[in-house]
Amino acid sequence: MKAKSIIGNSPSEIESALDENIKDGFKPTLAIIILSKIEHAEALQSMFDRKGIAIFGISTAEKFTSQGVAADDIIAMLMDMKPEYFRIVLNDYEESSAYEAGHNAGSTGKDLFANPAFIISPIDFKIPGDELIRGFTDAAGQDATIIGGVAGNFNDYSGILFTNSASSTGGLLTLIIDQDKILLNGLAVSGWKPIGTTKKVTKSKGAWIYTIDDTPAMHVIKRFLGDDIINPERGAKDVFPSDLGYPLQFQRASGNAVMRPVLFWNTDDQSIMIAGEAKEGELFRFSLPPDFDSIDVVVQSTKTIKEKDMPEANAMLVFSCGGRQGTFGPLITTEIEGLAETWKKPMIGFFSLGEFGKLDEGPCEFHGTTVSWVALKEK
Amino acid sequence: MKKGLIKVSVFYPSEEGKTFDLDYYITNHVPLVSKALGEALKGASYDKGLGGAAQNSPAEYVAMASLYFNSMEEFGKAFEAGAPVLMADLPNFTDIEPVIQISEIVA
Repeated sequence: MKAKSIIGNSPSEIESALDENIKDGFKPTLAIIILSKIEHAEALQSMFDRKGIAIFGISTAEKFTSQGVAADDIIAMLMDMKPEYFRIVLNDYEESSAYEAGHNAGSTGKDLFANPAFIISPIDFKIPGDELIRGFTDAAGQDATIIGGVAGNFNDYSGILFTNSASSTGGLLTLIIDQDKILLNGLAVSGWKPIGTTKKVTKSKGAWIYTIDDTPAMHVIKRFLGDDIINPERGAKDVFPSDLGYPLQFQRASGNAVMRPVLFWNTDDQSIMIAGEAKEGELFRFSLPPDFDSIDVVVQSTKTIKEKDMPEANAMLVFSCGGRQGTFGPLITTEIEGLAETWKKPMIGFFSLGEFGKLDEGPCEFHGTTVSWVALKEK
Repeated sequence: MKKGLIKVSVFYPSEEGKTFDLDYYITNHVPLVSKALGEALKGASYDKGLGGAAQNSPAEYVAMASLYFNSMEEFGKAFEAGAPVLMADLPNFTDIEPVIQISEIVA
């Protein structure tokens, strides 16, 4: 399988770049398109329809290629994957819950392929990522390969998902790949270092944590992180968004941790909402401010997989939390370039509002402030 | 349709437990077929199954499409070019494996 990435500021620039890239006989069948101006989606659909290239399209605020953060509006990864190796499914939440959308896509994958992998992008910040994963794993198995990131812009979390024939402003887009034909290897890595003693969630419901060690949740958060994590200028009444910079590290049996940043604080009852679910009894630690080591850990994860399991790849997709971009600033380019350098193959990605992937050999989970990357190679 | 044209029939067999979203098929997939096959597609009809020959018997096929081309060569080229888009879209409206027959119009 061959892959190429292209960039452009308009659909016509993308068409020119595409035409240029097929001059050597390259015949792409699949395009993963990431754009910021949603008004470009329709023209791209029409153009890729005419050229017979299937679309997995999403919108986001910021995206990148192996050359760094892209200033252009549209980026695309073109691949000549055989049409029988993949399908693209768009489920709209208007017709189903997040669990049902995940379950439907998971069932479709199991019907189509004995060993499906799922590259996913939901849109709608309010959807519970854990429920989505539960839907997938109930349908496709606990060890299902699920990798992806939540699409949408950073201000109001709105955006679009699109295929050739449909689009949605609130749904789930799934690229289903036959893993018996295409090898996928990926990890969800954050690089954040833990600090402090272990805390216990003592009262919670869904993503809302009411008490930590039997103390109102926000009291504990403020004691460690200070008052600065609250951004009063962006708050709705009584509910304030917080700084994503210091995720809570929820511990897993493997010794690894899932990052769950605090998203909102409810002043009424001092509860906090985190990115993902928090079950009563779960243990977590706070995070240290990030440094170069955090980036090294992420980049090293690709090198380890390259050495152990996947000496070569054809393409790479990366879903990196928007919170990382804010925290790392210009240093984020070091991380992007480091990831691209491992296989030196075309790479595209975007800054997401939540990430999906495996920490290790365990099941796929929903993460925040994390990088979920996947490398693809035809067998 | 005139004699000599190539007719490609796509049948969606009615099967227990399988689904077919006719609205999506008409609204989204049918226009995609036209775009993906381009000018090679000389005509088309899309049918919904109503019943079998025996009174009140169910239709053998939930739906079927008839696509017309000038020649096998034109069909082959158009299908090769459009297949990625058309195949990728299938699970959005059905989990039925379509049956395809290629024929020549003789009368």
